Amino acid sequence: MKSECDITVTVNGTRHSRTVSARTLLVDFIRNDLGLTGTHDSCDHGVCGSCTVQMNGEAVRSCLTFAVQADGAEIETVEALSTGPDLHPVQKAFMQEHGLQCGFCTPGILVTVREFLSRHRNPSEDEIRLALSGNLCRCTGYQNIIKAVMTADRIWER
Amino acid sequence: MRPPAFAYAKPASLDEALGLLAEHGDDARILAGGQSLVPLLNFRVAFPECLIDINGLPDLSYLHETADGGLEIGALTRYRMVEASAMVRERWPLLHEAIGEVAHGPIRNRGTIGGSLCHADPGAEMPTVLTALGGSVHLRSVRGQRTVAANDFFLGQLETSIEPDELLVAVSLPGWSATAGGAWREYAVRKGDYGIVGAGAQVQLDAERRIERVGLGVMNVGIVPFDAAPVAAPLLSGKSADSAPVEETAAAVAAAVQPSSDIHATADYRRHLTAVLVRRALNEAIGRAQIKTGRQ
Repeated sequence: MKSECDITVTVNGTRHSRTVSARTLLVDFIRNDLGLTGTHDSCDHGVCGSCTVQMNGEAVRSCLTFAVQADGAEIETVEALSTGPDLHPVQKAFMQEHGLQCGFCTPGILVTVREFLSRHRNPSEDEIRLALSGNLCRCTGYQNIIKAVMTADRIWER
Repeated sequence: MRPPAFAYAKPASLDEALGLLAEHGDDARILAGGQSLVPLLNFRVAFPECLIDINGLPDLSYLHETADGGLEIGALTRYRMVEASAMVRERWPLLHEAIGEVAHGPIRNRGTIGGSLCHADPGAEMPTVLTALGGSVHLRSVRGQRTVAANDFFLGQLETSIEPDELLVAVSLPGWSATAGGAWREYAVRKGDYGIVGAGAQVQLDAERRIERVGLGVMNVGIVPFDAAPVAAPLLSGKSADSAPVEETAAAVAAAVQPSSDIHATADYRRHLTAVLVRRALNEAIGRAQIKTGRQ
């Protein structure tokens, strides 16, 4: 039984070795220890989706995961979508369709959309709404988010 | 908020996990998917002294069809694995449809069947699925193992009959005939929210297409799943599938449940939902059983 653990986590392709408290949440490790503040934190019980990251290829809630559980895992945050001025097609689609306003929910939505579109082609509006049912947006009313996902499906060659 | 401090261990074997439970028992909580436990820690309504992380025990994740037509599910099986199973979709539609109502994709990627059963939230689907299908849980400790039926396992809100040194290792669904039909119907304000009420129905027909076996559970009309089979079976047994008294049965179940009122719904509304959802689930289950029986 330990209250501090040594972990090695690969985040967006870079390996990090750190000592963390057992109770450190993955969202805090990503934001505070690694300085990757694209991932957001809001409800702390998995409902809002703003903390969503990919762990070993699956979208998960980083507010409900301990950093120690990511030992040996590959994490991809919203920052993985693009590294420079060239945006990922999903990001381009969200810009094109004005699928964001304040941007707080957006990283969680982009990570969720990335997983969804990598497994589905030509989704219906209902399927998109279902896939995003775990992401809350206070600003947009979701209409342009849906349009952005449909545009991303068309323009993202995968 | 943030979790309180705790000590952490990740056993590499089932024996090691059971040994840790024997040593720490009351002061320990099991960490599986964490989708129910970590919110409790984040909100500081639970203060375990230690967490035993069982994610290093992949042998606890499996779907195994048994010789009697039943299904054994390992405790660490993620919702996602069950959701993706074509076998479950075909042979256990009640379970398949209920999984689709559990929260959202990312939650289902991590959450486990065993975790939901041990957490025993009255608004969770899996306890009522287990009740409707007549299932049981397998518990192990350093003292041995035991099997507990669903009706004896769920005791109250977030309370089961599991002992502090026990680990839920697997869940068993009993064999139903290959032509049994099942369905899950739930109402929530938004898709993925905790359901206000849910109903799971499982129906088995004999060779003459009369109802010979019924499973029925209602979710969130009390602090434990409501086993409605004792109410429904006398009304449905022996009746032809074409003319089964579904409305009368749904009304009887609605009269039998004793929900309370809370901020989500009044007791009357929960009774109303019970009648509606039981009717829909039974109609769908009987229909599916008829189709499967017709194929034979």
